[in-house]
Amino acid sequence: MENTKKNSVAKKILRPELSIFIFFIISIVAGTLISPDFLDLKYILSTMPLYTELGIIALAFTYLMIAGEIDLSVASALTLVSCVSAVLYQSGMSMEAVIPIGLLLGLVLGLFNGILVTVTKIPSLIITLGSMSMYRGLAQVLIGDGSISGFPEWFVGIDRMLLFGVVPMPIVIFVLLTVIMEIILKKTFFGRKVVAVGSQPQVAVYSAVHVDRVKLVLFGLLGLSEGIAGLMSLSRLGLAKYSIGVGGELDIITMVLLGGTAFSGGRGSLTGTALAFLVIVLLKTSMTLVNLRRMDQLLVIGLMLIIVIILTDKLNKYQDQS
Amino acid sequence: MSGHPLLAAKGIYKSFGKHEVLHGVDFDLREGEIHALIGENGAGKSTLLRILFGVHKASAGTIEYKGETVRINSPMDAKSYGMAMINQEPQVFSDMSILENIFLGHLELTSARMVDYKRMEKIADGLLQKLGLNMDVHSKMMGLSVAEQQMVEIAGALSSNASIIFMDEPTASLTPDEVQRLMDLIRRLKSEGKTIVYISHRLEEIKQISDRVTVLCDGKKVGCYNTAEITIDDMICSMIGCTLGEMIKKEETEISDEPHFAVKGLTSNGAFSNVTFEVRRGEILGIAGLMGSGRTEIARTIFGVMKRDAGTIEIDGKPVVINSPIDAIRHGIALVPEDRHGLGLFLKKPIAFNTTFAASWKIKRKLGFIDRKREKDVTEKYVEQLKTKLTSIYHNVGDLSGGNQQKVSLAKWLATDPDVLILDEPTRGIDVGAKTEVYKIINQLARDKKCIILISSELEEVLALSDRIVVMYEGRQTALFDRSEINEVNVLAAAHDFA
Amino acid sequence: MKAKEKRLSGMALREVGVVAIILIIYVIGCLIEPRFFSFDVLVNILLFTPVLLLISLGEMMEIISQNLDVSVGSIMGFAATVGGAIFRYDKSFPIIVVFLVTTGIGVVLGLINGLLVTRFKLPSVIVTLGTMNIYRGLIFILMNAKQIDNMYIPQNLIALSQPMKSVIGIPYTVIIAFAAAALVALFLRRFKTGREIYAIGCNREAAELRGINATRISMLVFIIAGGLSGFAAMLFISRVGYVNPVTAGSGMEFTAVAAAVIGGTSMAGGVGTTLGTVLGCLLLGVIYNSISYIGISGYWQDAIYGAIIIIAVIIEKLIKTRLVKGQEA
Repeated sequence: MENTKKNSVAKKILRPELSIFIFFIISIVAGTLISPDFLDLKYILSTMPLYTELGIIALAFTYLMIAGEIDLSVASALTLVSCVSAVLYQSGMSMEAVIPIGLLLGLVLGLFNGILVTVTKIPSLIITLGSMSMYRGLAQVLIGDGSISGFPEWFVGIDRMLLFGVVPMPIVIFVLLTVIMEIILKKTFFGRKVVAVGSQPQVAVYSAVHVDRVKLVLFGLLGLSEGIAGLMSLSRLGLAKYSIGVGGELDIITMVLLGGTAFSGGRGSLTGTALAFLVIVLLKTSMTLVNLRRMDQLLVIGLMLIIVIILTDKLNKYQDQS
Repeated sequence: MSGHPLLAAKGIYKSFGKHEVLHGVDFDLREGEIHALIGENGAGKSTLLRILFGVHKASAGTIEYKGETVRINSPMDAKSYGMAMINQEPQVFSDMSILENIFLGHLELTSARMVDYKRMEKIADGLLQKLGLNMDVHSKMMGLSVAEQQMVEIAGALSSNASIIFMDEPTASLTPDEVQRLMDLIRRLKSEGKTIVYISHRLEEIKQISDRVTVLCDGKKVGCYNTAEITIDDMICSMIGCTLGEMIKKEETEISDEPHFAVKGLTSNGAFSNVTFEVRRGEILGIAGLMGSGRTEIARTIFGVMKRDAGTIEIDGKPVVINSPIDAIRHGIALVPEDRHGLGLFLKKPIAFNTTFAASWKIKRKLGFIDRKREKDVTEKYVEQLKTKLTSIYHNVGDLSGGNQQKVSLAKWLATDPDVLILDEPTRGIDVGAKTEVYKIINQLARDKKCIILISSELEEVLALSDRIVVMYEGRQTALFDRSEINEVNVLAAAHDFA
Repeated sequence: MKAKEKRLSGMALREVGVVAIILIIYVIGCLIEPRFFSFDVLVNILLFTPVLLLISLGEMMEIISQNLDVSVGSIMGFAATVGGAIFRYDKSFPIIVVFLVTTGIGVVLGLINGLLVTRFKLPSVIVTLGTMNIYRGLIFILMNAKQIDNMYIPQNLIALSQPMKSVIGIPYTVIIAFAAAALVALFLRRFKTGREIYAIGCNREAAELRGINATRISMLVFIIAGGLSGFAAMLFISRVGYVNPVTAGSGMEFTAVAAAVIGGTSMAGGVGTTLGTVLGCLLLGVIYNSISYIGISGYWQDAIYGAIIIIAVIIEKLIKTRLVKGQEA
């Protein structure tokens, strides 16, 4: 009797999210040691919006990865939405009209991948390898080497919009989305379907789950998040360039994996992704504080990714036993 | 001949998790003999062979080769002792050539350490001829029939100079002609000094070619006999001798007059064609036939997983369109698949999750939120009804024993309140006690006025439980027997398409 | 023999298709811009290939054995930076030695990839995603971020890429690359390990049951891919004439995958030919060159590449389903 009690406690704690939680604590400690400025909440809050766009995409990406699919075109789609919106505005459309179009575009970009994957049954890795190139290429074609700016005052600077005078809007959006999506995943039947599709897709088919429809919805959701993120980044930067978000897919995948979501699907959590987002933000902040060069930062993140996936893999295996 | 057997297993125990499959089995193999291994499904025959071949490691016990204890930790070790394994479902490299499929793992090399295609081609051509195959060794494996793939596997074993050949149900998917050819081949191999271990359900074949027979039942060795000294009835007796009393038969139930469910001229290209039968409420329709005859495919087509190319499905006389399992459920049709691990259950998810998964409307609240209380109620209802043994409904299904897993699989579909229940191999791989319980459940379902379609490879099961039997052979419906016509001879004959 | 013919036609169908597309694009290009039809352009198209070809060959072997390596670009960049640094230190350093050094570095980095994937049984995509970053970051920690300018690169290295300096009129780098491709083809077709690479990609469990050590072979493939990338680094320096540690090789991994996939390498594993990959590289080269010559803005390049990958993969799927249907009939 006692053994099972101990076991179930261990089971609850030694989850894949644990690794990221540990890293979270470590990064806070490390950050504080590195620089006294670190613990200034205001400073952290002010740097977070930089990555919130990626974080929002990472949340939807988590869903997709739990269902066993991947989308490498996420950052390129963000850029494309940003650029298209900028071009539309420049050609005379009002910002109020551009915003819904941008969101719609994101949805379309996501569904494009989704339809190709579900209809042709070609692995999403390949399809999105192609669309990644295509979307960024299209952004290039639209905007060339230059940049477009000059957006209306009320649109620009979303990161400076503060809730209660303290918390930047992007963070609010991010936290809200995390909570909503985690609830959907854990407490609704749709969430169960997503997990089912990812863990044993054939069983899902035999259980009368419309696997293709579920995946299509998730791709669409991801696309929508890309639309939101694209507009947000446009607002934050005040301009659009084809090179924004380059390498973003790496950050996003890192956040999701860091957060304990298994690459093979069937398991994952939004909270983990959110925590991972925080860790990456904290790390990048502290690294910037010590003037670590961008390339070195890449190295640290790369190392961390490898360590965490090893840890997460072991924790996942532990969870699978009884 | 030395005093020691060529290969011997002593006191083999094997457990998979909590499930003990072999309890102290002894087995010995004499050089140059054809030794048959028989037993019911789940008796442990394949497991024993796999332990000898190094695929699994025994939990306890020893293996001896020519009297000396050896360690066989992998197929490579086994191969070094001259062993080779032919599986029921051949493991092929479909994108590679027949030649490579034969020789991979022991490719012939020239003196320059390069692959010697010329020499291999010669050897392969010779082997294929010997086996009665007429194919270009350079053509790809893709597209070969199961029988041909098996022959290639055998050619591979011969090319590696195996002296001990294990065959696990080699005739399961073969036509009678192909079976005879295989039997001749086995005799020829024996005359060349090879030793063969042969697992099969076809007792007539075993009587035909084996020298000795070892009988396993529920993971224990019942006995080892000289084939010449025992009859087929003896074999059957010792195989099922340990069941509790008589086989459960179908009870008398009230069967409705009009059929509730019918298929007419049902065809799915490449799998089966022109299947027609009807099922009435309270009736059990059995579908019998050899492996590969199309039985499972019929079930899948009815359920909407496979494509229907021709024919109709009717409910209460009206044709219905079923393109997916979602449609099927809507029409009250449920399928409990044969492979509960790969198709039936989410092994890493809790019992409650699995039980309620197909009947989500029973646990959904507004906006799709899950009602935990209703989930508990539904799950416990079926746990009680099916007498499933478990510790907690929130534990993973994968931890349960085979029999209890099957009950959860059943529960999942019973929860959808189906009118037509298709059971595909419902007692595969479960122990005797659980089997009896499942039979009782099936009877109860018939009493509850459901239409039951029972697909099973176990002849006794189909014979005992069915009111009527459809027999399939290579995708064709060869017979539809009424109660009065049901007996072993008729069904077996139809299954092999004799007269 | 009947099946031999079938085999030839099935295999060649793919390659013939790619050749056809190459010719079509080239002809269209010539029609639009007559200057396209010149020896110089052909040489340019060829010059596009050496670096890409070597990396694609490594990538092809990875994909055949059911792995994906996205760090090959960073490996090449790392090796190129080291090579360039050696030349900056001493311009007269024997080129052969530097070739060996860069290849060696590629081997080591490939080895690390292989260890991480096989030892910890992690998906190769993710691991190499991490090492892609790590290696690129390492370039800076170890070698400093400065570009290695043209003046440090020895003439005779650059000469390898120049058609005039070559006996046949075709640059030596192209010849070297094609020779390497021939060696790879020989290895894959005529050597035991080569066949086993296909085997583990085709059916890993069956291969292991036959005593083929899938772990060792996966490891070997990572090492070879790394080594090829390291070797390619020198060809890269030869072509480009300088080394920018930030951008060297960046993004090449995706082009390499594209070339392999276009050439018929199946992402499911077990299928792929050297000839196909060579043709894939040539196709990408023709497209790249035609874009600049025809006057399509260079910005379309990425978009077109992406579309081509998708189209190529869909076509391959169609061919495969048709083949399977044909066999069932």
